[in-house]
Parts: sequence; C-alpha cells; structure tokens
Amino acid sequence: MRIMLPKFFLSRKGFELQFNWIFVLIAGAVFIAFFIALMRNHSSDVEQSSTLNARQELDSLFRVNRASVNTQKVISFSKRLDFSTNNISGYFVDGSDVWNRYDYSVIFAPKFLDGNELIIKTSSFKAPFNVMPFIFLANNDLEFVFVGSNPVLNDVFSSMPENITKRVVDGKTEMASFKNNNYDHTIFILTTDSFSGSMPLMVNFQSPYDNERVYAVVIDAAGGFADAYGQVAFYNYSKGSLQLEGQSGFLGAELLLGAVMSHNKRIYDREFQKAMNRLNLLADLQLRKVSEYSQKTQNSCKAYYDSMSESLSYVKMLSASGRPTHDEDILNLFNQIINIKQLNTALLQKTDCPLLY
Amino acid sequence: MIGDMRTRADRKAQLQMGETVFVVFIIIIIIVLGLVFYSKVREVQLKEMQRAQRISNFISLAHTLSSWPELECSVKETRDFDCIDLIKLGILGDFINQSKETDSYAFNYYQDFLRRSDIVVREIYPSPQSWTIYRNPGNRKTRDAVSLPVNIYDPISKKYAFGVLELAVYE
Repeated sequence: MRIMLPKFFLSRKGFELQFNWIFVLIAGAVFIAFFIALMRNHSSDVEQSSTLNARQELDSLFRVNRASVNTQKVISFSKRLDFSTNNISGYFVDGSDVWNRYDYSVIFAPKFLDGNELIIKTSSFKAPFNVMPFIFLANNDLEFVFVGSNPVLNDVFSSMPENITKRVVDGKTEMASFKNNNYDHTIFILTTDSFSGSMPLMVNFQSPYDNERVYAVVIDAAGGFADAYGQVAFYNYSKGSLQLEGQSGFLGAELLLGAVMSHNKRIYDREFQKAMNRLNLLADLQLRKVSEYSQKTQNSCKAYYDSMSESLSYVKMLSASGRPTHDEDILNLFNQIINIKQLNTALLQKTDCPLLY
Repeated sequence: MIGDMRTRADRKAQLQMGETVFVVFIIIIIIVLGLVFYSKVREVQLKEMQRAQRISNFISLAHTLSSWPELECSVKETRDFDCIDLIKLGILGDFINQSKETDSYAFNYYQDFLRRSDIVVREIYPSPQSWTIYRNPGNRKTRDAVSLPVNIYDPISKKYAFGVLELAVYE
C-alpha cells in the first residue's frame, strides 16, 4: 500500500522554510557571540587603557616633581600601588602587567598605597648644596601616631605633608591602649627619650590581620635635632608584638622624614643609598668647580678653596658606593657637610670670592 | 502542468536562498568595514595619546633642567631661576663624556635622566660661543626641540651673559 505524504513535505518550498529557520538561528547565534566578544574586548581594552593612563600619569608626576621642590599636592588615584622592597626600585600599578622602575629618583613610600587619592610632597635634600629632590608619597589610609613631645618629634610632625592623618599620644601607656582605627598602616613614631626598654604590648592590635599593618619608628637624633644626624630603628608588628626589623642611619631632616614615611628598613636603605650615590656624583662636580675657582681667582681665596676641596674629597669618599654604613661614617659626613657650609658662609660674609653654592 | 508548477516553485526557492545568502554577505561586509573604520579611529587616538605623552615628558625635562644642580646658579646661597653657572657649564659636558668612557654610575644616571636628547647652551651676547652638554640622538623618527632663554652667570667676574638653552628630544 502506498502511503501518501502531504504535499507540503514533498515540496522544496517547505524544505527551504525549515532550512531558512536553521540558518537564521545559526547566524543569529554567531552575531550575538561576535558582539559579546567585542564588548568583552572593549571593556578589557578600557581597563588596560585606564591602568596605562594611571601609570603614565604617575610617571609624569614623578618626573615633574623632580624639578618642583618644596611642593605638596593631593591627586585622585584610585588604583593600588605596590612598591618593591628589594634592591631594585620599582612600583606596580594594579591592573598593569609590568613594574615601573625608578632607579635614579628617590621616592619614600610605604610598601603599598591603596586608596582614592595620593598625597605627594617634594623636598630638596641638601648637603649643604642642592643634591636632589626627595618625593614622599602617602594617602589618608595611613595613620601616624607621635608618642610624646620633644623638638625632634615636633620637627618631624611639622615637616609631614598636610592632609595626612597625624595623632599625638602622651606616652607608652597610651600607645599600648591606642584604639585600632583600622587604617591600612598605623605607624608609631618615638624617640629614644620617650622609649626605653621593650615595645609595649598593643592590646587593641591582637588580630592576625594586624600583622603587616602596625609599625614603629624610633629616632635617636644626635643633639636632639631632626636636622642633624642619627639612627632610626624600624619595628614591624609580628606575632602579637612590635619586633625590631633593623637600624639605619639618617643625615638631615629629609632623610629622617623619609624613614618615617616609608617605615620600612629595606625601602629606606635602598633610597638612602641612591641619595648617597647622587651626593657622590655632585661632590665630584663640586671638586672640579673648586679647582677651577682656585686657578682663576685671587690668592686670598685659595685658602678657603683648599679647605673646601679637602672637605669635598671626604664627602666624596664617605658617600661612595656602599657607604656610609657605620655611625662614625655618618658623623664624619655630617661634620664635613657642616664644614663646607661654614666655609661657604665665610666666603659670602668675609670675602669677594665666588661661592661654591 | 504540475511539472511546470514544480519548476516555478524550485526556481523561486533557489532565488530566495540566493537572496538570503547575498544579504548575509552584505551584512558581513558592512561589519568588516565598521571594524576597519573603528581600528583606524583608534589608531589615530593612540597616536594622539603618544604625542601628548611625548610632549609631557619633553616639558618635564625642560622644566627639570632649569633647576638642575649641575647647572643652576646660586648667588648669595639663593637659587637664581633660568640662570646657568658658566663654570659648571664648562665642567659638565666633559664630565658626562668622561663618564661615558668609564661606564660609571654617572653615565647611567645621565642616560636615564636625559635619554635620547641633545642639550646645547649657546651664548648670544656679549661673546657668541656654545657648549654641548649632552648629545645622544640615536636613530629616532620624531624630534621635538625648544630654545629657552637663559642667563649665563660667570661667578668669577660676576657678570651675566645672555644665551639660549637648546633642548631637542628624540622619540
């Protein structure tokens, strides 16, 4: 018996109709997939572009701030910044895939900054001539707590950038019971006058999350002035108490501020060494300049220039690669810098001879 | 007659299928043209961003040079802006060249700071002369140059001269 199928299924028109629908479905799926891929690529492109812009903006800021000394500014910056703690100076912007290096600039910043803005301060390091600008970076998620009051702490307090969170407590007892305000970093600044014996137990910072959040910097300034020289001890919070990370020397108020702002011995030591390398280079140039002066000026100036040459030679030797490391080196360097300053002032006040700086 | 109807239906179906394929082809062409247009616009935008970055770097370098400890004047222990010390000028070019030969920290420092650039100081008045402080052009396509007027101060004779600082940056 022959079965008769409806004509509809026998005609090519019916077949074409079904074929059209399948074709439309496949084509539609391809288009949707294409546009979804395009949107994802675009959003990834925008994210990368935003990170690149942030990196370039920061790089430009660092370059410009090398010339704009004694300035402070607050800029919007919503990406996380990480700073390396090894011998290679670099910073990493969140979302980027490379580290940006700054081998010859001095930037004092903590290990990371994660907030909505950046506070940038620049200050010129002098020894006693202009050596280089220092850049200090912070944000409002850092809390600096000054323990006690004396000329050194007052100098550091007043030299810190504006808009930064600064607090003052009377002594170690108040430091021990200081309230945990949940900042990214809480840094206690003390001097050896207000600190004796061991660090107090911080009763409000006992959570494991407080490791890598709490720091202390203890300043031992010779003569009781920040703008002199001395030693800085770095402490970080570990296993429920502040542990000594190490000690480093400082020379002048700018380096002391750098120690406080970075509150990390490895970052500070690396930036300190860069400043010394730069001082070494400039001491060499100043020596050549003094030698020119000595040849081209009158004999009455030569005695000053000879003394200056001797001091500059010492500065050059003491700031050579890997130095200064000991207290004695820092003391000698400080004394030579003071000597050069006094000689230059004497040239200004007592003679008509060209000044060194 | 039935055969003729079937033939007509076949031809109509074939025409419609051809039409569909043609439409899809045109849509693909339009999309491709759109992508090409977008990439061209994006390329122009990226070039403009590169140029803006280049100019920003250039301006920051010029700004930094004007207060460079290696060249700045200091009269009575105060900084004098847009002023170059004549003695330092004479020393610096030789110092940078010597540091190139010894491949020292100084050479690396100046190369990192100045990169691909030429820095020349020319005295215009009273006695024309010039000093090449740094020359490192390389084989670069783009050159941006600026001349900045400066005072050239001789600390020995305590006299000023007028000159220009010519800065050219290559990218």
